[in-house]
Amino acid sequence: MSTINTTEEQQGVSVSETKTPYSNRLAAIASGEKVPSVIHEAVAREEHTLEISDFNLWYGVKQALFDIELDVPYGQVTSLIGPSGCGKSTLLRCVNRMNDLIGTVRIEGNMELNGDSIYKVGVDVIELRKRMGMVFQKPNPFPMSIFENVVYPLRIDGERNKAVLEEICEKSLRGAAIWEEVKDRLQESALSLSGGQQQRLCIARAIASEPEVLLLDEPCSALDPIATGKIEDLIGELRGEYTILIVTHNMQQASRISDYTALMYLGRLVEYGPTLDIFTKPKLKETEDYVTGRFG
Amino acid sequence: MSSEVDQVAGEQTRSGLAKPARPRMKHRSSSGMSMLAHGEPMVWLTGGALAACLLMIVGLLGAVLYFGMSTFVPLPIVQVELIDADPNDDQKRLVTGEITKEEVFDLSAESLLSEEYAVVNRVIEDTVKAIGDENIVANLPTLIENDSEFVRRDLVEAEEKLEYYNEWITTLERELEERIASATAGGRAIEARMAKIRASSDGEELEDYRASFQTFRGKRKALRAQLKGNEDAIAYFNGLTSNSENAATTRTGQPGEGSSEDEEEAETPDQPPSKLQPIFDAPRPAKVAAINALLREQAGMNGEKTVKARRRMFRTGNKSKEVNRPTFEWVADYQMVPGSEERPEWTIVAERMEYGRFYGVPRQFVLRHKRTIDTEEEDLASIIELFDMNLWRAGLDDEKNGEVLNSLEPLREELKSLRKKTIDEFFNGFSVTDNKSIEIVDEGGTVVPLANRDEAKNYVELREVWSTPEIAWAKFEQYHDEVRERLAERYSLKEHELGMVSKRRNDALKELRREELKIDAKLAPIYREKQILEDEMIALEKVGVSSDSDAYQKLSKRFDELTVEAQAIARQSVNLRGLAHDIKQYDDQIEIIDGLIRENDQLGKMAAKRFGEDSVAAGAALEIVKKLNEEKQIERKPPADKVAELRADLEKAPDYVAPTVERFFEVQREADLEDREINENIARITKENSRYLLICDTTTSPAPVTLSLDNIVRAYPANQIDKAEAVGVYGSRWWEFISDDPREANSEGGVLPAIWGTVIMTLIMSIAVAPFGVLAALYLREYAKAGVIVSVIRISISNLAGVPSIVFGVFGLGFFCTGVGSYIDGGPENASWPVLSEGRWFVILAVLAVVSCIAFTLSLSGRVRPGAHATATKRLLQNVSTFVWIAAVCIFAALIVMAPFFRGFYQADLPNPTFGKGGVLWASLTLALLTLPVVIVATEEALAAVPNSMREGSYGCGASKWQTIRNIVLPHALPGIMTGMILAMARGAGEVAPLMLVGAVKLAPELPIALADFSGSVGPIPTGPLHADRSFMHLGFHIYDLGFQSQDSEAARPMVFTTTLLLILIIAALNIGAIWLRNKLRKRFQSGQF
Repeated sequence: MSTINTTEEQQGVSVSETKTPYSNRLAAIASGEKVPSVIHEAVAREEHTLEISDFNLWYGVKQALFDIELDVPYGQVTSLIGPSGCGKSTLLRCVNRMNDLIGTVRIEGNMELNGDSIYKVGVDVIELRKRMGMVFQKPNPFPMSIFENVVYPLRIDGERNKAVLEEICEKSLRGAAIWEEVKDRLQESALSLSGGQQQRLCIARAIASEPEVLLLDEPCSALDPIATGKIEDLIGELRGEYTILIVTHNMQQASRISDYTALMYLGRLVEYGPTLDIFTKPKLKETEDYVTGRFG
Repeated sequence: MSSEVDQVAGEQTRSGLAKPARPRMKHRSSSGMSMLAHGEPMVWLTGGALAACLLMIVGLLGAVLYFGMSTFVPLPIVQVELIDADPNDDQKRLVTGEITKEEVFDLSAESLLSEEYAVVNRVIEDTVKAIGDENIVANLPTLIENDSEFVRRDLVEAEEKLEYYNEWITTLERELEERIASATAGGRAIEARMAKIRASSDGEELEDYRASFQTFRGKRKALRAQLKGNEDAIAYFNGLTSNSENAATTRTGQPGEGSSEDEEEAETPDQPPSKLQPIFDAPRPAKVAAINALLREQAGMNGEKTVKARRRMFRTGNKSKEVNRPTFEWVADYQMVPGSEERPEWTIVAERMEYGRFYGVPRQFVLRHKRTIDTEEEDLASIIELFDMNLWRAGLDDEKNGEVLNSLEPLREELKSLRKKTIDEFFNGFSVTDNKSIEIVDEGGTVVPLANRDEAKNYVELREVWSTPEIAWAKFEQYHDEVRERLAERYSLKEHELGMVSKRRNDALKELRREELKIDAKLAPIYREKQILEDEMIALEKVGVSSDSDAYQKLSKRFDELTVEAQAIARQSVNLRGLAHDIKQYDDQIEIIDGLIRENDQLGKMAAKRFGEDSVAAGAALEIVKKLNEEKQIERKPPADKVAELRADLEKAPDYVAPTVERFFEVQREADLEDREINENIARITKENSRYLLICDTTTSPAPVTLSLDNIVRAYPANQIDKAEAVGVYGSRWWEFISDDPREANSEGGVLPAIWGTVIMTLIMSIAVAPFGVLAALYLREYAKAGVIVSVIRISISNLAGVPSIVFGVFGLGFFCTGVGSYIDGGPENASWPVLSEGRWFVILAVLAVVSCIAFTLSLSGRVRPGAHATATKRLLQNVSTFVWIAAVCIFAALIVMAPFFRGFYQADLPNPTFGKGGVLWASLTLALLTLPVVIVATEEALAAVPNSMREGSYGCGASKWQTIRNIVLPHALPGIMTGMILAMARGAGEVAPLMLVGAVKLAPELPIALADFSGSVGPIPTGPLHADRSFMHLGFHIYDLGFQSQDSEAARPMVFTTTLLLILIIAALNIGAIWLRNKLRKRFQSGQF
């Protein structure tokens, strides 16, 4: 649980009462001011799968994430929204330490996955990543058969038993709502699928290893509306079974599929709460401006 | 904020542009500019460049294709008669052959100077005819004067040039002198020196001018001489005209200028003297001037500068062991008797195993039959011979001698009648027919027709002779195939089976050598210690220590001990191989003598039996045999003694080598038996094949030439064959080219070994270069952190691709052949590398152990736990451990390189190198090195082209780095890597220069892959049929060899193009194979479209 556990009232008051030289929070953030996030009461009431506390990140000398406090509730869909470059994807990629691949990245703070620290010294990144599933912006099926794609996480774990693999393959594909479409062509190249199918395949691959959290990085941004609809339906079906953290540009999507929504701006978490609240009665004027399309 | 700035800037720009907008529009309306603006001319430019490139490529391929394909086309045979210098003898000078080339050249008096009198006259006649002047002799002075006019013009030009150069030379010389003088006068030493240096470069220029000056001076001299000659000629011809006018009635006023002209004149009376006779008979300088003038006139009339003449090159072949004649001959049209060109119906082309092509008309086909001589006849003959040759040995008195001779008479009669009977039977089997005659051959080799048979003579051979070209040719075709088949069998016996036997012999010899080396290795340290002791004793003596002193005694005692020790190992260092080899040689001699003795014994017994046991003749026979054998025994003694002596030497070797020695002799005995059997087979085939002869008339020798059928690879009557047969000949030549060994210094026959060599070398190269290149690229692209070092390495690798290939050849020779190869052969000593002493080696081994331990500890303690940030100390530890690891590896390498224990894997073959010379392995590795940059660069590019999303996807699934690389990155990059391999193969297969240094040779009929011999190895690693140490033939080198090293360049040139074509085809085939593979892979890993 986050250490700085401020209530919404306190925050709201503190901001409005403090005489900042800036017209609003966004300007304050833009000028580099340390602006605390507004986190709704409802969040604290949930059971949390992923807890991000006091998280900072630098690309070289440039800081990209500032003091992020974000607890992702278990079995719910949490979406990260915000204008381009606000650090949503960076945050998401930090969860499964994908940013380790970039040499210049430096982080501070911690994340915990079901109580296990992600950034503690001595954590095996490979093992850690196996506990999460990740789906990227562009569908990235591997150049192999559909079957092999789905069981890839198990293959690298050394699973050889064909029966187990087939069972998990079917389960995952059914879970990703693509089984009916591909069950007769499992040995065909995954690259022969359409974009939407490929993305669902990637989701199937991500859930094949029974992850504790599913990270979706703008999964629909490269898809047409019909494929997007199918993915959204799928996310709806996965809700409850998996904890899902999704980054999206599309506010309607966030409102449609997520239970919780977090708004980020220039590397800071602005407001985080139940989706309905964020979209209908946000605590901050800035949030309202953003969700109604007045800025960003 | 930045967007605001942009907006402002945009507005400013727009407003700034508003004003000049209109004039610009106007400007644009110019059509030419509009075309430029639309880029239409660029289409033509770019298209033109492409067309030019295509033209060059198509031209190159087309030329190679045309010349390469046309080499084997059977050409018609043309026969021409040359104008004869000496019409007195009846012999015509005929040239027969295929026309391989035709060219047009400038006809000039100079080029005619070496020609025959008649030929020159013919040219004059033709020229005069072309000019069409009736009164040419009278006009000749005018024509010559015209010619002189031209010559004068040239002379003036030459003079001008000379003056020009002269001026330059004097100017330059003066300048140089001045400059040096002024610099020296200035007194500054440096300036003077600089001036001199500059002067030397100017001096070079001066030299050039001087050389040109000399050239033109020579030209001027020649022109002046020509002018002088022309003047003389005018004088001569003027004199001639006035003379002939004066002596018009006598018509004998030919001025006899020289004896040769007089001779010519003597021949003419039977034909009416030509009007041109005065020119024909003019003295040489005048004649040259006249020809020049005439040619000039004719050329001038046609509006040309010179008169052209045609000449053709005839391939005349017909070289032989006795006559080494040029096989190509130029024949100019004016050298031919007009209308003599023909295509003789029955002239055939024969391609021979030796001495190349043959052109001739079949005259006879001869089938030889040897008379089989049965044992009885043979026995009788040898008994009679025994007495005839050796009767004196029996030492009988005259009476008994007479008795013996008398008792021999019935035998002679018997032999005679027996022979007559068998000869009759033999001859009766054959009969003369219309087209076949029969000749018989007696013991002395005299050949007579069957009709002239002498009953008393012993005929051993009968020949069936078919004497018209048609039948001779038909018979040739009938028998040729079977003869060739037998020849192939003989070839295989000779090359393979004999080769295998001799290999077994060599192996046995090598076994012995190994034993020798073992003994030497045991003795070496003892001898070394003895040497040291001896030195010490000498030193002691020198300082005056008496030999009785304790120190000295101690040394000498140890010395004696060592001597005993050495004796125990072997009584002396033995030359096992030499001994065994010599014993074998003497044994062979003894065996031959023993065989003769046995034969004599048998003969003696047989003779005794025939004469009756108690007869005088029987006694004489036995006596003779006894005497003969006594002589043989004396002959047998020296080798027998020698064997005993050598055997005694062999005894000195330690006992445990005895089995090896015995095995050696056993192997040799077996090999002898096999050799004998194979050689008998070969002799049988040779004898059978020598029965068939084709006798041909040729135009190159007066006597008919006999061709043995097994020497003829292929023959055909070139002027008779139809299209289909021509295609057959063409195909069979191609087949021979790609399936046979070369002959005639590579200019004939096939290139099979070269094809194999090229393909195998390229494949080994690919196999060698792929892992190194791919792994290096993987490290560079996937593991190495970007930085200065990586950039430098990357640039260096790219630059390596531009290093001239011969540099790699030199490196390969120095490093692989003489370095690593010699090391494999005989250890560091053989490679002339430094060798550590044993003590030091162990010390360094200990050092290595310590260093490795330190490195290991350092890397352990420098390890950063996952997720943690490396502290400065840790980083330092990491860096230090890296350096220590590098040091450890270096020490390890040094230990291996300088190991004192290692004596190589092929020590038994030394001093003959096995890997310490050029070979297919080293050539492949050299080329692998050469193509490494290509593979690395291509692989890196392919790896870089793998989308990062793939890698992230894989990492996201929890894959490790290596799992990601193996499962995702490599399969995806494989097509790109294959492209790199294709490029590398194409470059490597076509490379020649480095190969010349590292193993490609002119002739290597032993292929690097031998399916019959699975004993190949590289050091301790068996490689089965691959003999990586063998030198090999390579098509590229073959082309070089044919084109530049061949003695018969005319014959080799067409083969150059054919071999080039083949090389291109093979490289294309290798590439197509690789491309097919790549496309298959690409289909599998094609990236999706969405």
